[in-house]
Amino acid sequence: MAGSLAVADSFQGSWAGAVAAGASAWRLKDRFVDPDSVVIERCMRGDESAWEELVRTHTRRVYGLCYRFAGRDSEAQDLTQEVFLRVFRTIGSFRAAEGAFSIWLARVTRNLLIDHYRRTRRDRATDSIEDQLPVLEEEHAAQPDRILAGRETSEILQAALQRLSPELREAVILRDLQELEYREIAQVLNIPEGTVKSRINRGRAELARVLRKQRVAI
Amino acid sequence: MTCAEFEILLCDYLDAASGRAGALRPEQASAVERHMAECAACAELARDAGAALSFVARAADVEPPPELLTRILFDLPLRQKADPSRAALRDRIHRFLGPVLAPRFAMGMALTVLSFAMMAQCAGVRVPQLRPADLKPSNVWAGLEDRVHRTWERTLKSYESIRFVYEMQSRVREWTEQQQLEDSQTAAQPDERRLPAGTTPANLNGQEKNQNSSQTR
Repeated sequence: MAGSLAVADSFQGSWAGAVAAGASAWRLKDRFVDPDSVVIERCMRGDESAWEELVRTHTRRVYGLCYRFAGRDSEAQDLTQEVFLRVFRTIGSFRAAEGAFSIWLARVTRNLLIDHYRRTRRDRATDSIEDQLPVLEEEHAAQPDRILAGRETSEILQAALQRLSPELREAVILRDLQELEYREIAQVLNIPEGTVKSRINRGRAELARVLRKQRVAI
Repeated sequence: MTCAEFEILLCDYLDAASGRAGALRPEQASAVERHMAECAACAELARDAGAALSFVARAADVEPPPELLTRILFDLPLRQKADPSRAALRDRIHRFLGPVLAPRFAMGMALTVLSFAMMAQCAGVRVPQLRPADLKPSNVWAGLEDRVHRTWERTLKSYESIRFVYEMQSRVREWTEQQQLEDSQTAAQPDERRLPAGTTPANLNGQEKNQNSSQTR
């Protein structure tokens, strides 16, 4: 018990900062008012400036999700662009009464990522993650106790996430990087909340094992 | 508590431990901790999950490249959506001109225009000298009527001229034939002006001179 609490204490400070920073547009503070509702209405009327505002607001989140899931910047850029094109074409199917726009957007993004994952599965079989990032692994293997800077941590995390199965990866990304609520993740993935929590736990544990295997201090 | 129940509560337990607002009640937290003390596998799961959560929290956020926003906005077909009236007008023009721009129809139209141009050229219409007033239906009709009238008059005149020529020709032919007939009749009768026998050209000249002098007197 003492051990688990010690683990929890170790990330308490950094987590609080991340939560404060991430509680912006993506996660809803007020569950009954969608902050995007006015912009969405203008978009549906064909207002060009509203579309620009919508893209400007959500590009960072969508790109982050695509980058963490797909693993490559170029792929993530193409996917982000594809997401907004799909949003542009299907904005008419969005129903404000059924949930927040940010959740709908995350679902659209996730569906596109899964389609992309299935489409490129054969390519990845011949081009594994180990082949993509050998330098990074060797560098950090030589310095196991080094406290990694945020950017380096991000790069290592990126490589480790690609080792996870898509089900566990998307659950971890949506919760720990996109900071969605369990209920929202359940809506995005269309699975029960209990399954969401189970996947998040298993995903985190798998991630820790991968990092430990790479001799990264966690 | 079973391991499955523990797995579901672990998320809330870690949230509470990291200071995030959660739905874990104090008795549930106690139950989780008791289970971790009893089950080594679940304790390891909790340790690994907590460590990974701590590592992910240290990772920097990823920022999209600045040009991505421009690229997305450039590729979105915004201009068509931005002005629905203009888009509707363009659609209407396309719908109207679509069949006209079909190759077969366009070729037919071109041949028709060419035919009319040739007819106009033959009729003497000078296209560069056309004025807007000339295109009024009344003016077009008046011009057409005038042209028909003139053509009719010209045709009649030609006919009259040709008839006159034919008449003259036939009259001349008649005169010629009549002349020839008279000549032939004259040749068949004895000539009263025939010279008497034995007259030589020299005598004839002397006689003619005498006749001339007597006539002069």
